[in-house]
Amino acid sequence: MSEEYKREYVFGLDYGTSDFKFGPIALGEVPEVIENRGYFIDRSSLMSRIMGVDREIVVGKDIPRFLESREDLAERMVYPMRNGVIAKDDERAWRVIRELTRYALESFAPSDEEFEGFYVVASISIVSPRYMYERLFEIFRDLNRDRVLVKAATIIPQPLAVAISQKTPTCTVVESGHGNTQICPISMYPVRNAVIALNRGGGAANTLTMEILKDAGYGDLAKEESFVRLVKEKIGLIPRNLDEAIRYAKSNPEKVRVSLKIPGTRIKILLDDMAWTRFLIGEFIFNPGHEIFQSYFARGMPKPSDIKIGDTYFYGMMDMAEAVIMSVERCSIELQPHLYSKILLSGGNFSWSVPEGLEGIAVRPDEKLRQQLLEKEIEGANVSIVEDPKYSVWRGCIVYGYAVPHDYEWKWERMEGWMYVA
Amino acid sequence: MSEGSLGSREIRLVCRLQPGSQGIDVVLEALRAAGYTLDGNSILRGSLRAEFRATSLSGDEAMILVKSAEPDEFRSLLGLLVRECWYVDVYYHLRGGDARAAAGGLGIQLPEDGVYRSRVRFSGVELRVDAYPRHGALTISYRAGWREVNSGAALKIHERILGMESGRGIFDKLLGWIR
Repeated sequence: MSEEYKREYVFGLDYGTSDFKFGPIALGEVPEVIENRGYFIDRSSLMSRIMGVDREIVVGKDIPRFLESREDLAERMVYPMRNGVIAKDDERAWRVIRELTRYALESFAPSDEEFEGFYVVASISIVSPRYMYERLFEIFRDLNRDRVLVKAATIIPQPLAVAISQKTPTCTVVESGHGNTQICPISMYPVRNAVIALNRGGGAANTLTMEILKDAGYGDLAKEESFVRLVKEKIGLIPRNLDEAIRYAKSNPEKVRVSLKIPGTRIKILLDDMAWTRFLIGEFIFNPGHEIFQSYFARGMPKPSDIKIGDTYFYGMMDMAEAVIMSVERCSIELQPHLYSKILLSGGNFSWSVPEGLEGIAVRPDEKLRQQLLEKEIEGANVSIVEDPKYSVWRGCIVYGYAVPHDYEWKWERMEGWMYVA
Repeated sequence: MSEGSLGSREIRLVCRLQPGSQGIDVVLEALRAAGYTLDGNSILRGSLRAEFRATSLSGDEAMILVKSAEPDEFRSLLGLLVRECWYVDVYYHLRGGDARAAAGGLGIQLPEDGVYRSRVRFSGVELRVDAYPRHGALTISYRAGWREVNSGAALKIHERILGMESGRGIFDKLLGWIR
């Protein structure tokens, strides 16, 4: 009976650097998505008292209704998982995580007596230190004080969730979100000492898009991140070869010219003679070391820097293929060909398409990485983008929760099993 | 139920294997024998596109996701599975417009918010309804055995929920024969 109960109530939580994906097994293959952020309301203000706002943190789709001036945004808006890791003492970030988790679970929790809490499978970055696991379990336990929402919980690293969702026991997972990129070889379990992390993801491409918009005369609009992200997603292209793509764009401007109307506003973006810069956005994700980016750095655009968080180095400027090779070469020689033969690209940062008419000049991320690896003499690499890359971690959570028996209890030494918290 | 999106639909089949059976291999063998092509995790035949999603570690259950299928192909797959399994739980996951249409088709009034759970009878089968109006999501499920498939109830439920009609009705078949 308990096994049947568990299979009805598996719930996945994917704490991405930019988006938070969540939902029960009953949702099928597509989770709910909200931004992984929280807005701290100024409760001392007269207006919030008049309006009867009794919450301190707002998350989810309600956020835009509570936003104040642009200046307040930087101070009050908290993106807790920007780097995939939350500092132990960053209380504001942990409060946002608690609120997001509560929001997710409450919005799907039935109120009938049969419900005894969800079997929650949470997924976090592979570089997350142990205290993040402890803190999440504490949050699940704490949420149960008001109403039982979590019966048992488990936590798995995001690359492992991807491998599970693809049913691939031996592979290299490149999981790239907004804030960072994790490269993780998997041979049944993640090979933890071979993990390479890059301090860049979709957010770095946003920064470059911002500069491109400024150069095109849209400097005041370029201050709003959600707007910049939308522009990046609509106009950004990955070039097969950047120099060739730029030459092509300059001699065939009509093929790459783009105009973009922002829905629900009067705003229209037009890239005419600067349309070649569309290719820079995609290239920056794979190779920020290309000399063309020097002019942006020289004008003040922040360079993705090498940083150390906990025990992990996040490389800023290392190109994507180099990072894959470095990661694979940390594994046994016998295993290496198998890891190159199945490279899985996952995460929202790999959702790029090729517009009609630009085939061959613009490519998808799998083709770009294959090309980069070939240039570094890695032949026969098999690179593929997982189906719906944005949702693969959440799907892996659901499959994992479904498969792990309810009586397999959490073991800290193996970091697997169910922790009963109700 | 929130307005807006056009909708989406997925069908998940959770097959409970016969007690003491030799796991999923029996089902795979039966699928091959019936002319299905098994390619990695994919199950293909005619209009049917399905995929093995997971197997429980205890080996007593397997989950199959049906990505697309004409009603007749779906009935055919379900018929084969209930023959090889103890029973099959059928889940329809619907979103947006598809969720609203399915609820309407079954005469269910959904609230605007909260989590809604209820049971309705259709074609002699008890259907469980789980709705999440805030997220525009609806899941309808039932347990299928030999009786539900043979009586035609499974096909009727499928058509009612997805608003489809099976490809070849009696007139289609007759005209096809005459031609």
